[in-house]
Amino acid sequence: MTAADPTAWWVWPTVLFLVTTLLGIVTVVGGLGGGTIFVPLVSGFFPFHLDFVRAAGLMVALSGALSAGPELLKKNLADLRLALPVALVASASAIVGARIGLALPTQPLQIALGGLVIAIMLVMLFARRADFPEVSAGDRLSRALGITGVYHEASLGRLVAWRVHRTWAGLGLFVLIGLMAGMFGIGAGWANVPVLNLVMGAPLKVAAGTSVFLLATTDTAAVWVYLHEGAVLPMIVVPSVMGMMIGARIGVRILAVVRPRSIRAIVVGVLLFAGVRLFLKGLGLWK
Amino acid sequence: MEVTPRSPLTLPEPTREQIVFAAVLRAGTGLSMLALVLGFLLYLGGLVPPLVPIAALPRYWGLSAAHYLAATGLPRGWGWLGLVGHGDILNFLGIAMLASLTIVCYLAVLPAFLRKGDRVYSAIIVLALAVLLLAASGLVAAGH
Repeated sequence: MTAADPTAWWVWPTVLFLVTTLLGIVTVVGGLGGGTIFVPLVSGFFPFHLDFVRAAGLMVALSGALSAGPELLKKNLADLRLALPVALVASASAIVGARIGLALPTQPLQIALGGLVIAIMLVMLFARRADFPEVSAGDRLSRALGITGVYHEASLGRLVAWRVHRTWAGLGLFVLIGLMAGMFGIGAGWANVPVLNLVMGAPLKVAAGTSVFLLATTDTAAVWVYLHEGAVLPMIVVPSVMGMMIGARIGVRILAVVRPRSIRAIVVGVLLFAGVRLFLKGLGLWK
Repeated sequence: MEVTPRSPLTLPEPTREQIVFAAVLRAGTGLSMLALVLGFLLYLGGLVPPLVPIAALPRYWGLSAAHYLAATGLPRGWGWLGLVGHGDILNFLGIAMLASLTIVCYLAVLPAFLRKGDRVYSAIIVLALAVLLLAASGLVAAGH
């Protein structure tokens, strides 16, 4: 057991609830998944062990994905034919990732997570995105699986037909993405979208919608491993999930009146700070 | 990408499988969140006494999961089901419900793919179910 914490038990869960409510607002307005910022921030600055934070991060990402899923499926913005093969690969590797994550000592994990968070920040800053990637012909695998679709693009006022290519390369990358999602509990929207969009050639909106669906499957696989390993602490999970849900609802309401670009700059700054903090914490340079 | 020529547009209908998936997901998420909140309120309110006293939590939440289990005597795997009469463990029901939803949705859409004779996607769903059920079974959680 650790030394008794003189702080009353309710202080940290209350702060956690308030912080995740704020994160819920920021992530909706900044356009990224809750788990991406939750894990580095909470593991960097709260007294909870990384095991509990990663499990809570997965639950936060899972709850958000499950809540958003129905609407995305109904609008054809999440495509089952695209998502199912990818989800199969990612969920299998997420189990392996979760096992590795729970078996590794905390310090190397903190260092790796810190490095990953800084890399995510760089991806957010510099990765280009293609609204409608040019895919002249689907590859053999995507044709065999019938991965094509049509959705209504409101900005054009037209229907957009799409197909994908480089399916094998995409599946290979999703092995890595699943591993990282399970290992760090960080969700994977930041990686799902670029792979679906830039590598496989799905339109940006379809990539974003399908990514949410993917999170639901990938995180489900990993959450079960954490749950069976005793890494799920309700006093951390429930305030986090509820805070993120409430914050997301507030975020949707204020989305119209704030400048997403400035919020995004704040998110990037917080990610950088949390990433450096974790990295140095892992090295023992910032206790 | 192909953009259709300007014409009166109608939103393309989602497939039958997507509609089923969305409906099950919507109902299941609502129910699971309700269970999660109710369980937590019972726990916080002290109406169902916890296994680990709430006031003692700060002594445990800095431990790794393995040390936490060792210190509290909580079981691995599905052992928590036998302790669900305790307030803290009661919360696992809502959490497990949320974590089961994707499995339920896959089970719900499988018949639609089978009816269409879509063998490849039926096989993919069966494999995905096998993976998720393997994770849920606890067989892959073998400790540090």
